[in-house]
Amino acid sequence: MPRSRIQDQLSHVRPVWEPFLPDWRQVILAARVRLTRNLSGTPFPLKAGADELRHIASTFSRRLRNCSALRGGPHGAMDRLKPGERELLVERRLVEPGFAHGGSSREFAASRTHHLVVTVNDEDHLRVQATLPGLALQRAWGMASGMVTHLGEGGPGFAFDPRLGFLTSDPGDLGTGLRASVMVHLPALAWRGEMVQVRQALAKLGATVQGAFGAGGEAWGDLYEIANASTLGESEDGLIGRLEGLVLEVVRHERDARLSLVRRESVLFYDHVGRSYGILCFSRLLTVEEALGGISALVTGLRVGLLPKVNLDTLNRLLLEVQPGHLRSSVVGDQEPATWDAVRAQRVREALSAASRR
Amino acid sequence: MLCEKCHIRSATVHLSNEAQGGRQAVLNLCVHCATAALGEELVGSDVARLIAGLLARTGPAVAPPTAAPPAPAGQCPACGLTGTELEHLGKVGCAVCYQAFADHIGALLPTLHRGCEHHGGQPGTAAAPPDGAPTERDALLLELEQAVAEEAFERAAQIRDSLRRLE
Repeated sequence: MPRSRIQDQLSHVRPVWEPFLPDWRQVILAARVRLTRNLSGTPFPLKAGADELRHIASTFSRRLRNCSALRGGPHGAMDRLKPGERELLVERRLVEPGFAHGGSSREFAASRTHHLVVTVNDEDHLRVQATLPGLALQRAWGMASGMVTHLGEGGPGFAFDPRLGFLTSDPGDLGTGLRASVMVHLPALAWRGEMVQVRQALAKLGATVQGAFGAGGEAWGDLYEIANASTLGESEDGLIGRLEGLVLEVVRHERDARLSLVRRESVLFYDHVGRSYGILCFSRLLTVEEALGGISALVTGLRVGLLPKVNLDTLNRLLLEVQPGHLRSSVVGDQEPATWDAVRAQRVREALSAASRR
Repeated sequence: MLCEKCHIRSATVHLSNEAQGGRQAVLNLCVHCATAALGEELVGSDVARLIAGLLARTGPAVAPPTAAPPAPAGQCPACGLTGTELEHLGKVGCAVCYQAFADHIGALLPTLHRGCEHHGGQPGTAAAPPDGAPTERDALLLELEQAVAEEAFERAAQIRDSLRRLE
């Protein structure tokens, strides 16, 4: 099956999050800021008619095409994309699953490196998302805010109330319309069974914790997103500063837990890494959850000097390659295999075997 | 996903419990219902240190009100959203809904946010650092960072040349 334009545009760009590094202290992988706005005088997408949605999509589409920062990046109408292409966008965290599989007149545009993504007619007329590696929340906010200002110029303005702030479809996004989140890798806290308590503690302090990959409350690969729960009642600076403080505390706690694993629970920890290595090297069936969990264990083990023959670059590539959409798009031929878990297991075995021969 | 207790707010806290047969049951709750359900039961000295550290950085948590907001009634005169739809979907249909359902949303806000009044940027003013619209230069700088990180120095040199031409 020939590769599509979107597949080509996505496959040659590395993910927006920072790759796993050999440094054992690395916890933060990416910072994201998403700004939500609706045009003044037009119903929000929930109640807008088909003509209104089309008009909004074509208005923003013109502005997006003329935006130099987005030139050369993937873009298009969601309902013209194939299901496989939408899956790739979701797995690279460029769009939300709900947006990818939603209704008509939905447009998206991303910059060449995918750090900036604009979606039109999601639950709100306009959402702008900026993602940068590391804890660069302020810079991400600057990028997203600049794009929002640019897209709003010369138009009817954004729906705004002096008391409630920017008006959004979800009252949970009201006010600043700013959702900041940080992607973190927490293998030690997860393995020690402390994530439930971490979630509870952060919930009491106005932050949410969700799995970056996984359904429902799961966090495959021990990858999480910590985000602000509140968007109203404080300034953008205050909101971002407070989230940064919470994340840095969690980072400190994760690093302490990693040291504790190596110093006080080394036998159990090394056994966990060894078993994960065995599963990845020899399984004939592998689910996404198992694959990502195994990658997380191997990364953690590599950082303390275990598994000298495993290559971090290989693990970073596998993080995306084992996901369903990426796996499907990499298979040559039109025939659907009997089970994708077998294809995934083979891909992982081959990758680890090739890496160990180098 | 809506909270499984109040069916109003989004579920952002996922609590795991050992169910019968040793399987894990997950309860999906909003921040307000989760806090009410859990009370002060947090165990483990490591977690106590984490909480102390979090509080030191952010100050005390804002306690949400205990009374549930009144059920939304009526209909928005602009978009036609009904109180039942608002209660079920948790979303509004237009800007006017915030006036039409002011009582319900007004009571909901303290459970969702740290305050009930906007303290952020205004439309038409620069709330963020005044970087202006992201430009081709910004995009090229990000590509340059990526190329250097990947040690693709030939591509990095091409991008550097493109930046010089822009300047």
